[in-house]
Amino acid sequence: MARQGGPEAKNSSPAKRLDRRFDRRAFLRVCGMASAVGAGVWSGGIFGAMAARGAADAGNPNPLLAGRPLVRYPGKTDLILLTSRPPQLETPMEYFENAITPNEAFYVRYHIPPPREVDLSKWRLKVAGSVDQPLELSFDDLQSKFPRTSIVAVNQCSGNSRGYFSPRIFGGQWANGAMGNAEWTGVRLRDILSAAGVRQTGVDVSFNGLDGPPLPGVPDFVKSLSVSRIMEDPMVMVAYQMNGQPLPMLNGFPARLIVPGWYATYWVKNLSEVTVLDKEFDGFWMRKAYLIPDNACGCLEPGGAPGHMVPINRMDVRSLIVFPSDGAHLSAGKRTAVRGVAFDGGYGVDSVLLSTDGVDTWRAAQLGKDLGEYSFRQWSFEWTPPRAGSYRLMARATNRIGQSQPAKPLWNPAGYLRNVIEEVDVNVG
Amino acid sequence: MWAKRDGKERAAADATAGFGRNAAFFAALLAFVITVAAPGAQRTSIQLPPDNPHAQLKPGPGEEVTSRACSICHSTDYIVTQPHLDAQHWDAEVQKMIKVFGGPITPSDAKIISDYLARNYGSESEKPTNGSAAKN
Repeated sequence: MARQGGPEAKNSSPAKRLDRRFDRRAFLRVCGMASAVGAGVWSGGIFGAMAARGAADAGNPNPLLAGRPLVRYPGKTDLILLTSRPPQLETPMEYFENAITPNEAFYVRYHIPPPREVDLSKWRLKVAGSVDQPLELSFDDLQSKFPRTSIVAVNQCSGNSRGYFSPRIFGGQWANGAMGNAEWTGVRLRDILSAAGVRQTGVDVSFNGLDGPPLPGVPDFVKSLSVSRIMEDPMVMVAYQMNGQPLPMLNGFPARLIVPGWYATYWVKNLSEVTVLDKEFDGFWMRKAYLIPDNACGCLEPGGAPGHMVPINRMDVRSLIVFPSDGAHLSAGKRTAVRGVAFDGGYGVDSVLLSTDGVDTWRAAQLGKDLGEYSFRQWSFEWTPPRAGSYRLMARATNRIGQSQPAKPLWNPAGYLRNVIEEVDVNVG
Repeated sequence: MWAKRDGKERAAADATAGFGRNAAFFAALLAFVITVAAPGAQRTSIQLPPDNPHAQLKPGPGEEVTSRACSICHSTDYIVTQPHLDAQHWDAEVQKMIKVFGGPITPSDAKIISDYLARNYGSESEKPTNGSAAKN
């Protein structure tokens, strides 16, 4: 596992993966996006309805989300407001009934204020530093000068589900909706770096976007990957489309970095600068933030003091029950499809097991269509509650290299990597 | 090329917008996206709504100083959504904002802010609950 060594590449995927073609028609069916996009006009939901919806949402049965209003930000539909400035917006769980998360429902997380305007005729992706030929690529260059590639991949915030940590931890108090799954289309980063000619001395590559610090003292949000990580992995890319559409501004317009399998902190949005460095990048957001304990589980005894820490990297395997929701009422003797999504850091989901009795009796769920190793894998489990009473549902995914989910939550100082077997309690009457 | 907005200018604008005014907030949820197709330009712009008025800090000594200082960089929902940890945690958080993020906060204001946060959003401020654990 990459965890011990920090950011290392897993062996790159075979070329055949590149040839995998995603069924666009199927995708458009599930996605069902109605947003008006075309002919250079990109229009999000225009008028929010927070006043009305906020009151309605105060009754959210999830205590973590109770009182958090639904808000509509530019290019987005009604999402759960975590913070307004910089914006952090959570995707309601019901969107995960589909394998693909619509752009307008995709969660939002900025550390510093997002760009408010991009002039695409002037936007350039600057590739500089330790390269033979610095580049300034226009949006047209990106689309026309490099082979185009696509991948379906989960983007999950490192701190997704932080609100469920115990002991509690300061930071964004997300429930489980700081994640989404989309088809990303763009250019392989290694093709761009090859065009620029990375020098032998190159060690790390840093990535900066158009978001800017609110004060000069605030470290700009800059992340890095190693040169070898990029050159060995053809799926690390600069995406200019998300689900076949331009990216919403708040999801990274006009282009963002895609690092399939790794937590979203690396997926730099509104990307503008790619810089090859002759030494390890030592910026704040790599060396001081987004760190996990340097051990196999990335965990500590709850409340324990951090020892040696390394940058967060590959995602842990997870499964989430989307239906029914916690506290739902079901009918005895009536067949119900318990369903959800599972994913991991790019090895692919091998199985999802369900328990309906709150103890260690596990039966296999049926897996949905395979959209690739980095995608959500939908699963479904036909269940007929035998009699009235309370039931605890649990789902446990295992990936293709045998990694699974812990029965008890793992704790770390920043509230990352949550992947405990989630529990959903339902009442059968 | 685009000009990255000057940090100070943006902070000032954000701070001005930051003090929750409910009416303005709801009216200003005219959050929109426009693409202007003027010759040679392809501008896409967004307008972000003002800070969440439901995230106003609890009234009490230190509220004004806290709201003013913290709102320079972020909306106060960054405070009110946090778990109620103890005074030591809050003080460490305030110190982080000053030392790591360069927040322009004097030592005396830092003390006022830490005390205010611990008193209103700290473990002592917690009311007894049914002990229902948050879960999905």
